[in-house]
Amino acid sequence: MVRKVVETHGVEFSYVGCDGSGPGTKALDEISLSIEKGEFVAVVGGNGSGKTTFARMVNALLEPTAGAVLINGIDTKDKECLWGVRRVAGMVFQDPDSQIVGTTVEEDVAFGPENLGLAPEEIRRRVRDALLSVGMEDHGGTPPHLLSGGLKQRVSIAGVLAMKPACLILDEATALQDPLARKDIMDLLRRLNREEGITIIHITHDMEEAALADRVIVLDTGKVALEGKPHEVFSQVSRLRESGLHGPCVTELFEVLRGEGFHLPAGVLDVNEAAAALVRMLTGQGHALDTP
Amino acid sequence: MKILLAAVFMTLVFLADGYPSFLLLIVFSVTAACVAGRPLGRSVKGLRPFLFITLFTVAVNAVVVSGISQDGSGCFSSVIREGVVLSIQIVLRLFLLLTGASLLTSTTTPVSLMDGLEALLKPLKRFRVPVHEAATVMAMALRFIPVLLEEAEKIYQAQASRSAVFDSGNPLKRAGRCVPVLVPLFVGAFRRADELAMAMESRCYRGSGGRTRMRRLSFSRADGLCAAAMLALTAAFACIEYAM
Amino acid sequence: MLSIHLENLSYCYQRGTPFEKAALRDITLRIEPGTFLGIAGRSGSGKTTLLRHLNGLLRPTSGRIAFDGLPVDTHGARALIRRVGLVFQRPEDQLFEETVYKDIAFGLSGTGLGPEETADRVREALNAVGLGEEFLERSPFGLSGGQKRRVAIAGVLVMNPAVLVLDEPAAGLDPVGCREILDHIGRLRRDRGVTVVLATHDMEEIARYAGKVVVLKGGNIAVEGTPREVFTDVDALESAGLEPPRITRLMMRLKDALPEIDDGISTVEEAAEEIKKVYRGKGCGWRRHDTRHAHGQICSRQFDSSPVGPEDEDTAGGRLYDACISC
Repeated sequence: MVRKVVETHGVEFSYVGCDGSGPGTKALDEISLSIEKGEFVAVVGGNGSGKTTFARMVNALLEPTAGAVLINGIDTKDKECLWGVRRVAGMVFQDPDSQIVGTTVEEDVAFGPENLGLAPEEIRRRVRDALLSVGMEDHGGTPPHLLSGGLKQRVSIAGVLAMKPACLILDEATALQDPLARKDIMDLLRRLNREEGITIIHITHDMEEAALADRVIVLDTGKVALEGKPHEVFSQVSRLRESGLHGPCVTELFEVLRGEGFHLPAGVLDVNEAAAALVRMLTGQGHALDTP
Repeated sequence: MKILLAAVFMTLVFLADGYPSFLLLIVFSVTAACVAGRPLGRSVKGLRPFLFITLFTVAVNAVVVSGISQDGSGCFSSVIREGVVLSIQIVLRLFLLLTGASLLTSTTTPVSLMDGLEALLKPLKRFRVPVHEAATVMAMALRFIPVLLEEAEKIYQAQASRSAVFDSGNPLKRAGRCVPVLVPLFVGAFRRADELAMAMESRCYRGSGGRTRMRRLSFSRADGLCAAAMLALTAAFACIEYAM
Repeated sequence: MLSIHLENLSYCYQRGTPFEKAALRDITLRIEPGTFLGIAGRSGSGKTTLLRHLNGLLRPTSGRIAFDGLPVDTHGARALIRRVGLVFQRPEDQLFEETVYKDIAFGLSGTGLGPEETADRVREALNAVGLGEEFLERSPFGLSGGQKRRVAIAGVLVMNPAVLVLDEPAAGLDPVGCREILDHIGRLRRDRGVTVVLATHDMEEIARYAGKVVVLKGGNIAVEGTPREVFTDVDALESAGLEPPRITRLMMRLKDALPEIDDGISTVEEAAEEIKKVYRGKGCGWRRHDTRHAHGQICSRQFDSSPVGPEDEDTAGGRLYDACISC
């Protein structure tokens, strides 16, 4: 039976207004969606779309002002089970310097398991396994400030993995990294998803990264604007534009060409697919692509 | 253990009075430094920042302290001599203290130091002293010192790049211009603290309740040997002092 | 108009200590007035160190840097260095004043300008980053991340720099914010002739705005030239830990099958034009029923000789051709 790791039912969240009185802005408005075990979901949206608020809901850092968030069936409002929720759904933040607490890599990765009250041998084992998973096993004794941004983020991921979560939430965790580090982290995430079955929720505003997910959820001013497989979502260009977003470069290019009358497939996401479609079109290898 | 031994050593330094005791302590320090593999030359170099304060102390003492000379006369030269002797004692004490402290910090990782301190102060928990929280705060301060230093440098350079007068003027004026650096530094530090708190909470941190440690402080043979050596030192010290 | 010339410039951090680290090696570079120079490289490639030389914060450990021909340590150069504005990474971290106005005006402290002229300059700088005057009396700490960043950039623009140097100005921003800030900066160059030096690891940004590109790798210049020249040198880019912009990658893939295609293109607009051009050049070998033409109407364009099959003949014995895009 496929378990729903994350379920939200009519979730709403409002930040309290600056003067503490009255309803503030609604960051999330009637969000109802679910994420299955083992899925790789990308959540995208413009500034103020509510994606960070959504992430914090899933990790139980925030409580919904209305509706319910269920993690592995547990309601996040249940104070008794708060820590259980945070164990299941671990979060990695954008700035590694604001989440690494240890004076060495090993010490930081051990922080989570130590909080769980595990036996020292078990902690040591988990630290070793987590560092192996992210490829940082040789850096156990390194102080974090000597590492590059990409490696620091890997340490952060290891720190969460050591708690053996069912679900990993990444709140724009690649935003501050350079392209190679970003690719590195995405490869790591995909491997964790495929080989270890960890559900991944990747909050991002990079459409090329979102295109790698199994499913994309587009948030716009607190509501779910679009949802579906990447090529389904990115082919709805006008709706995306309304939300202040655009798809991957090649999808944009294809939209421009389609607007001029070229018959090209919609929702093409990556360079290889796009190249193949264009070569077919330009060398006349295809038959008539459509009929009136 | 190391912390305890260092504390004992420092107490002895304060109690020392008379050349033989000092000689003993110096010999002990040198031996300890060699055993620890810390060349003495480097330790001496490390004391350079304290040179100014040492010289200042010597100068002041030599002039201000009036010593009663052995023959009871208030003769100028003997007063000076007493002052100088006292100054030398102070210098020696400082040197021994600093060597001891630097030996401790250079042979122990900050993490172990924190753990050691926390373990030593644990009994205070009974009196509701927030030992764990204090230790955690200190450990985090250690972690973030390099980060904050880098941040401060960056902010300083940014403000100096903007303002024509930021970097100029007499030192007093420059000191008064610390607002453009301190305000952003503090704001940034608070922001970071907030984010850090959130990150820690999301990793199930809830204070010391129910928390275990990966590293356990244990007593090893080396510790035993050091303890024995320190005991021997104390004994010898006591003998010398009481014999005098 | 200010030109900056770097010659065999090298820089070592903490020279003479066991922590010595060579950040820049033998950099020779000419920054001409009015250009938009992109400096690309991974984190740690030396971009930030290079930028800090441009406004005199760092002095080279060997080699030289000259401003309008004057070496950096001369008295004349010091006045010129004041005309280089450097925007650091995450510039919003340096905001400190009570109001936006005061923070921006900080850049004019010590210049001896009167209050009216200061107010004019502050307003101008604020408009140049796309913010209105209603922000002037607000506290900078109450603004959103993107707004804070713009205020910080305005704080540098208020000095009317001849050369604007930016260290990853769009890092961490959403695509819309990123595009807006860079558009404003591009406009500055067009309208005021400000020389812009942009350090980034985003090749798409460089593709969109830069006229000249320098790629750094381990403190050395790996490759330099026009965007077109640099983007097509895939090996050099890859060894520097970068990749060509996605559109360029696409065009290079197309070039394998279509040698006539221009693979130096890096933006969506140019790529669309190029593809249309190639399509037209190929002639209409397509079978496509187009409602713009009445059934049976023959398109008057010249076609290539690619054969069409028997099913292409209509009942009247004529040949049905596709309507081409230009009809």
